[in-house]
Amino acid sequence: MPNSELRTSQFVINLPEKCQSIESAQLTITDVNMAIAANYQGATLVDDTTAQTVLTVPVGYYDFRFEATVTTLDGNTYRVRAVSNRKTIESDATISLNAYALQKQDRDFVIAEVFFAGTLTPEGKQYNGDKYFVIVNTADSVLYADGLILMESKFKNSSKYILTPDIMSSAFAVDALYRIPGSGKQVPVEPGQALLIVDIAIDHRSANPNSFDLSSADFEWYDESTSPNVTDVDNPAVPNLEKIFCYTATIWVPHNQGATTFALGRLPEGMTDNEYLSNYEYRYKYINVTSAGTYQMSGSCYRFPNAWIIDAANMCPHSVQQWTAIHESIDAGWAYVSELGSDKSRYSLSVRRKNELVRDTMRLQDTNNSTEDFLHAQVANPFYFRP
Amino acid sequence: MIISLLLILTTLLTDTTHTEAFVGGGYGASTYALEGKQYGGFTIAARSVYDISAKHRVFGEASYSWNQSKDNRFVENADYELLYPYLTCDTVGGGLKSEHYAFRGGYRMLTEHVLWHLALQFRAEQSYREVDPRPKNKVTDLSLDGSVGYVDGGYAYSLVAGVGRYKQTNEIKFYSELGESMIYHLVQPGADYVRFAGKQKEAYYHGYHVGGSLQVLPKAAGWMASAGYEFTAVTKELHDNTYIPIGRLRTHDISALLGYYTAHWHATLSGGVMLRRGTQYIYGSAENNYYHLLSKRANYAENRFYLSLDGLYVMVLPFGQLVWHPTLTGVAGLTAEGGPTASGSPQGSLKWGDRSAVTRFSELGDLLTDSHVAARLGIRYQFPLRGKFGWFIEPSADYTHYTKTTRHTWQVALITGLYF
Repeated sequence: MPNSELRTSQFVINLPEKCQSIESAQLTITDVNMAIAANYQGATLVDDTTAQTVLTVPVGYYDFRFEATVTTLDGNTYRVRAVSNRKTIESDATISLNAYALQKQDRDFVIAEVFFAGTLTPEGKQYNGDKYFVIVNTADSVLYADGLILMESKFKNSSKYILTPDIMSSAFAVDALYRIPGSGKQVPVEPGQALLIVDIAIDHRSANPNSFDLSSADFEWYDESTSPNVTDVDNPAVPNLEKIFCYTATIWVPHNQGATTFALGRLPEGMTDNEYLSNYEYRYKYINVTSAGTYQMSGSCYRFPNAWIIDAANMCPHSVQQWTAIHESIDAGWAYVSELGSDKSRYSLSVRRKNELVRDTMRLQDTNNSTEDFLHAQVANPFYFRP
Repeated sequence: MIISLLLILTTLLTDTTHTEAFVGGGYGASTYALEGKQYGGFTIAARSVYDISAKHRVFGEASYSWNQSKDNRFVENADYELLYPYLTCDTVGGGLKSEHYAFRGGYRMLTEHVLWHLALQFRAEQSYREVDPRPKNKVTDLSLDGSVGYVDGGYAYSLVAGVGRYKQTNEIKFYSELGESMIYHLVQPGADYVRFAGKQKEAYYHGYHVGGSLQVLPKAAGWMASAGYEFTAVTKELHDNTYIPIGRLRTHDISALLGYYTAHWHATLSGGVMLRRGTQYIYGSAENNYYHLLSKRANYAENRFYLSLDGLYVMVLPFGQLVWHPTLTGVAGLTAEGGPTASGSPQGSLKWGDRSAVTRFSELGDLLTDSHVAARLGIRYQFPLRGKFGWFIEPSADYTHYTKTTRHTWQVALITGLYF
């Protein structure tokens, strides 16, 4: 490779708080095109909030991941990580990475398991309706889940678009919002306990022995379909989520190949659904390049401010990820059940957050990086977190 | 290419008016994964040389063949030997059916001191599979060649030139409603372009070849010699949505031949070196379906040396003729560059590590770059029937041994037809 292909890159790592030293620093550079990685050891502290590493790397397209142990001015020592994915190095440049503490301080509800792929019948046919989400209270105290909104992104993590206006740094573009009903104190969840939210809360095993009995779910989402050919099933014994908005006039089916982002959030206290829907519409434009030509496109959905988001998990088949549909400060990675969206092997597989039992309490890993935080392609078990 | 042109010119000088039509079939087996475990097929062909006068000659040939193979692995392209390493691959494989159409026609003029010819050649091929994954490859290869030479005494001294255009569409479909398997695009003999794995199932190859040679040929009997050069360039583009060129192969084929020709026997020794050079297209971010091209980087270089000994002997029998036609070929490859570090390394101690993709196709890389020796023997029996009409039958056998991977292929074939 000619030297003209090498570029000097200055990596500036913004530390989460003032530090007096940095040790065991490692910068991992992964060539996205060829999926090969290189590690560089060491970083220098420029000032008490900034570390720096300077490297020459070939022109290319990279993921960067920085980890180090820092000691704060008041003597605390902990690991920090900074991730920046899908970055182009074309010329000499300064690349800024924001580091965060690996031990998350503020705990809340997190998305613990997502099952979006569905199952197969013994005859080998796709079976839908048994998709589910599990959310877990990771705080040390009781949290109330009523008012919690489950959202799906408008955009897929497998297709990157330059949107105008670009709102990603301040808000999440969503296309489906369903809320756990209640006044705010009606759905208590003990520390480490889980809620199971399903599509159709019935015993699916009678229709498909390869599926689950979801009749004991905590909630289901139910849609009044406008099409008699596509209707939902309601189990009156299981409370339904409140639908704030969904892109479809029929029934919400989370992306079957797992290419969207799911998030949990809450509307500010006192804000009604109508106020939200009236004031937070997102109209956007983008360019779509195809072999037939280049087209100006437009669309609309809703924007959910990042500040209202509690947790998010990007999903994307491993081989086709292009960006994250939510700002990377909320989730810098992505979880997957297959290499390819249409992979035959994806059925009955889910993504499950890494977890461990600490003094009889389930502790879940949450570093805002779903690639790191989730176990990928796990055999789906809706009762793993909620026996 | 150069050698086949040489034989064409030899035919131009020494043949007389004749026509032959034949049918044939073959069967073979292989432990070389790219060819399939078993294969067979049939061919229908006709060729003719017609002297309008001593000065003017037209010639032509046409053929159709149908082949089927079983349990091919890795490669989902037609013409993989031409296109590698920029191949479309998977880990499922399966048998392939293929149809080949070929046509060649031309004109030659020979005066006391001038020989020239012009010929057009066209080859079309489609190969496909009827179960998932279902590749459908369509090849068109159009060539024009011509020569001009000076004839002095018993020899002609010719300058031959040829130019051609090559295209292949390579599409893979899945009919299963349950999903698909991964499709990979090789950019080095043992490694695929990981970023484009899976999603891109349509590829388009296009390129051209141009070459020339200097040849000395006997009019009736004598020494023959040739030295030539041919350049081929082929670009692979992915086009599921937008056109994304991912690699460009350039080959430089330098060859030479020396032999002796008579009406009843000939022997030739030919050899050469093929310099294969590849360039990978490096992409940055993909936005709005547009992949931003960052760089074109040399990522593959291989030198392949080949040597071939070819003979023919016509044995006149009380009833008919027996034509012995043995060939022995050796091909040795030297990979000078390639592997996981070819994308370039950052400075100092920072080295690219291994990747799983290397392991996935390392066996394929070994197969594609393996040296091999091949032997062929064809024995043709010609029997005159009435007047200028005659019948012939030609059994043949081929065997190839791959030295590093210790794989082999063999094939037996039989053709029979009429000549007049």
